[in-house]
Amino acid sequence: MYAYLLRRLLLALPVIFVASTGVFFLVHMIPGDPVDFMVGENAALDQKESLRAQYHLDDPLPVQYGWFLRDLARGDLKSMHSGEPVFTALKAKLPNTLKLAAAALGIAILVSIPLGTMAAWRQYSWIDNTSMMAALFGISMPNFWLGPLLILLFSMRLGWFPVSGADRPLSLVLPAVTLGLGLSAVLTRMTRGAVLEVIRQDYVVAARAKGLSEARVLVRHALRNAMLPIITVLGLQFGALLAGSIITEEIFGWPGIGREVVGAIQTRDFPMIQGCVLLIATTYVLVNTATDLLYAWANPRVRLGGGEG
Amino acid sequence: MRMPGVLGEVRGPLAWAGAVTVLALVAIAVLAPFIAPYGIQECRLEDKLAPPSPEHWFGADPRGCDVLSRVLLGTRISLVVGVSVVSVSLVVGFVVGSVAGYLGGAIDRTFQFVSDCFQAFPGILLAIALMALARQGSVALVIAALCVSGWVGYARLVRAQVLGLRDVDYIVAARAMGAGVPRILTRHVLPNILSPLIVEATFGMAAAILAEASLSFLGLGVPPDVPSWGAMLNSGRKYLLDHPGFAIWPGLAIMLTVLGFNFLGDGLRDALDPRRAAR
Repeated sequence: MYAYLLRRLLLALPVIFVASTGVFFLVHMIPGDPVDFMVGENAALDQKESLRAQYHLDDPLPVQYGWFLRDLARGDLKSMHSGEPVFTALKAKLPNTLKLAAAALGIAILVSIPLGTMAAWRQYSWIDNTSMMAALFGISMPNFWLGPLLILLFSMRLGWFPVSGADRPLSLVLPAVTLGLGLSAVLTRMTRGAVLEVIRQDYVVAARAKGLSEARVLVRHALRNAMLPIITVLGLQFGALLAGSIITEEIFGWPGIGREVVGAIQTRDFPMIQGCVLLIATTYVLVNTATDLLYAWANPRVRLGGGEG
Repeated sequence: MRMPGVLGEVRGPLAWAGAVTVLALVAIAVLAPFIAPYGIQECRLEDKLAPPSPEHWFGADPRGCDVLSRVLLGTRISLVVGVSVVSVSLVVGFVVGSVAGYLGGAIDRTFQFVSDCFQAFPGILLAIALMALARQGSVALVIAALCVSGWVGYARLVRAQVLGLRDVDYIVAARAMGAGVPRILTRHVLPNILSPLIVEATFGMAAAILAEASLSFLGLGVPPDVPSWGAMLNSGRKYLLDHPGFAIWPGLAIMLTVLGFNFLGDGLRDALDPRRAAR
């Protein structure tokens, strides 16, 4: 198990390295002088030149990449705008994004597992049809529309929740619902499919024949075995959650990584962009590895290290 | 009732609702310049922020442009972006995925590594960075930005399908008869993996339309004078309390379009995959 984990993590390193290298060259091709964003276009020429020298912006791109690697290795990447170390800034924002993602995930699990299971258990009943219809609507509803609608109703009209920011506990509710609803829809469909797949298996029929209660058959025998594909989808959906958080954070002024990266791209804050991308790629790869491990833990039949694993 | 081609596979009320919605959208996109009450540039400042009235059914935006006309004209942008992104991604994805899956070895390992790199962060992030490359956005740039990572999903799907087909009798027979790789992939492999590709492309349309709207919503999409639902929604946000219609109508248009493609994709998947339909 440990050897497998180590192998997975070692395989992930080149992926993270190449992905962040690609992004480095990409963002440095973006026209627009970052120095103009820092001091304004009309700043004195010598001030601009000294800043350009300070950040090595006049060096050829491969040389700039060397500087970047050196700063990264020393943990010395600094924002071009605030001068603050990038990793300090990200350390302050990451908990907010994680809080939002965890809340959204919590909402999605609480909604989708019971709903998807009930839909499968009572296939073709009104509860199945209604929940599947609602799930399709949920998948199709863009979060940049749902967010403003929730703000209009619950913040502006009813005044229950703050419009934006993250300074009050209630601030989390609307962004989490916005982000969690789309995920709930995907998970509900997946849960229904997974439960349908197992409820006709012999062991479920046998459990029922033994005289176990419906609830016990459902939870202990059907849902437990249906968890494998659900875990996989949860892992795969983490990417969608990160992508969704970029927009959701923007709508609600939520001070997280998503908002930071969009702001950094718009102001050409190269070290900050690199830091964000590195963090996102690392999180992404770690979550994928964790999903595989969880899958293996939940299913002893999965032979670690075998096949394509 | 049997209909030719893909539509012949559409069964079930939801799938039909999807097919009808998509056909209606295509009709609106084609006819938009004729059925929209006002032209793209036909904005009157004296009408700015006008409430819904017989003159402006959905009201007028802060520049005095008719919201209904812009919503109708926005259909064109969404569909053009969707069709273009899906077509380009599909072709690139088929070529790369089928070659990787069929030839295997180092080529396949390289493909897997490259696709892992692309999937190490959300595609929309890459598109945001690419859009920032340009001082001024354009429809072509949005399409290009979405294609850069859009092909990876199709390529992975095609690769997986080709791996399962590589050693079936008719492919082995074609190889034994001296057919070259391009011929085997296009004549023998492609027709047999068309069903999952069509389903994926239908969902891909929904995803591409959402992605374009997301970029425009962030102010990184098409130029401001081009009517894009995402950009309209973004500018409508500022007037949410007094004029909610500016944000509601374009949002509804996005949702209905995406819903239509999702319904259709679901219906096609059930029709083309008998194992799922049997559930």
